[in-house]
Amino acid sequence: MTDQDILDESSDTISAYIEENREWVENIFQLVFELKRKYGRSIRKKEIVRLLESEEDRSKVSDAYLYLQNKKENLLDSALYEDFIKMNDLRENDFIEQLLYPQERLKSFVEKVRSLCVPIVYLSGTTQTSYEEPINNLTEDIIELESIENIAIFRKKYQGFLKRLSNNFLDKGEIMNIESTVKDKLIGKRIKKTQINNLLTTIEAEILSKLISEKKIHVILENDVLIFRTEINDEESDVVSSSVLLSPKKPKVERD
Amino acid sequence: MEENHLDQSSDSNEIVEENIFLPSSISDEEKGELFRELTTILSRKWTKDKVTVFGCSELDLLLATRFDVQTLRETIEEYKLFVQILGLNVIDYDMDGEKWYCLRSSNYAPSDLQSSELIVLGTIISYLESDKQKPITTEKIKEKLVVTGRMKEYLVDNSLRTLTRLGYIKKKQNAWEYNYRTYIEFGDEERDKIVEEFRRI
Repeated sequence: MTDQDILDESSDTISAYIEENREWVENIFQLVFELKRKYGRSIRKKEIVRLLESEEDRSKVSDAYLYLQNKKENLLDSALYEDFIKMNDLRENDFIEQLLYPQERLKSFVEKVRSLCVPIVYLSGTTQTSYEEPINNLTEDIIELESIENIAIFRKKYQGFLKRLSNNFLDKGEIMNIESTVKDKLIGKRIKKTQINNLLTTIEAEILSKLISEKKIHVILENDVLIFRTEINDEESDVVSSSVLLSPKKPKVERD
Repeated sequence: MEENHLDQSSDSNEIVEENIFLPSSISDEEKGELFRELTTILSRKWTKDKVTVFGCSELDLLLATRFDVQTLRETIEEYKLFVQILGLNVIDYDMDGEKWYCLRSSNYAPSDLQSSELIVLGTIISYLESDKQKPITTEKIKEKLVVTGRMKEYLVDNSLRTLTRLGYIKKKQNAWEYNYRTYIEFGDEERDKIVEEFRRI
């Protein structure tokens, strides 16, 4: 009788035994299945099953391999066995971690988080440029109001430019008056081009322009000198201009 | 969304096709110049609404280069290959609905954060990852860290302020949320690992 024969015989006896206790085998499989579910869930949630309880469960299914026949059942059995090992590891690790001080556990957490971080790369420096949105919304215009003092200073500085030109409607008499003053100032005199700006006010200049266009006053330009006359010879009429261009240099402009 | 976008870009192509700057027409020298400038601008640190932001927005790049969107994206794709040699990645992130580009190291690099800030950030990450529905208030963080005596209260407050300024987290209606930077620096897997690690403290 060879060893193989003995083995065959024993397997024969076992299979015969299993055939007899078919119901019991199903119970064993049910137990393995439930334990696998229990440990799978615990490991996923990192819940620790106590050592005594775990040992009891293990002893319950320690002989199960004898009764499980097909491949699927065997695989489930081995998976459960692996879960027992994992649970043991988990339990041991937890026990070791509990021996550490909380500060050290916190420190290891910091190291873990730090090692998992893949940071942005940038040029380091203490100063930071503030980011302003590119102008893509032209509907909103924010005008910053300056302080009242600044506005007062500004107005004082640019008084002449800020003065409004009011619309004055002159009477006929007033116009006549101004016409006579313009004539008194200018007729029969030789005045340099540069001087005339200072001589006349804005309104007087306008009246002068009007008088010239109405041909009541004639102007002759000789080099830099302007000659004003009321009458003119026909020969000279070709060179007479019809208007005066004024560019007042001083902002001091009188309104009346 | 993408279809619309493509339609738009094709429209713009038709209009400004004459003076468009296609990558093929850029000489190597010009490209080198462009890449150099891109490196500078993408490694830039700004403050926008009191939060630190990095790199450059797509709109700014468009305004600066006068490319159309498609050309710019092609150029950036090429630039990505260029900086890979240096161990850098070009990352795009979303900031108030606007696309921003910045550089990130491909491997581990020293972080901006102190250890206390890392603890607080890790706590927020693990709370947010384990239950996204529950709002994470400052009280909850303090309950975990201060009440159990692990950290001082002022340290937690200070860390929260720093993290907000650096763009990791933001506060919305009394609850803490991720800001753009957490998504850039911590991927999904990394965040899961942090949750696991957090159980141990």
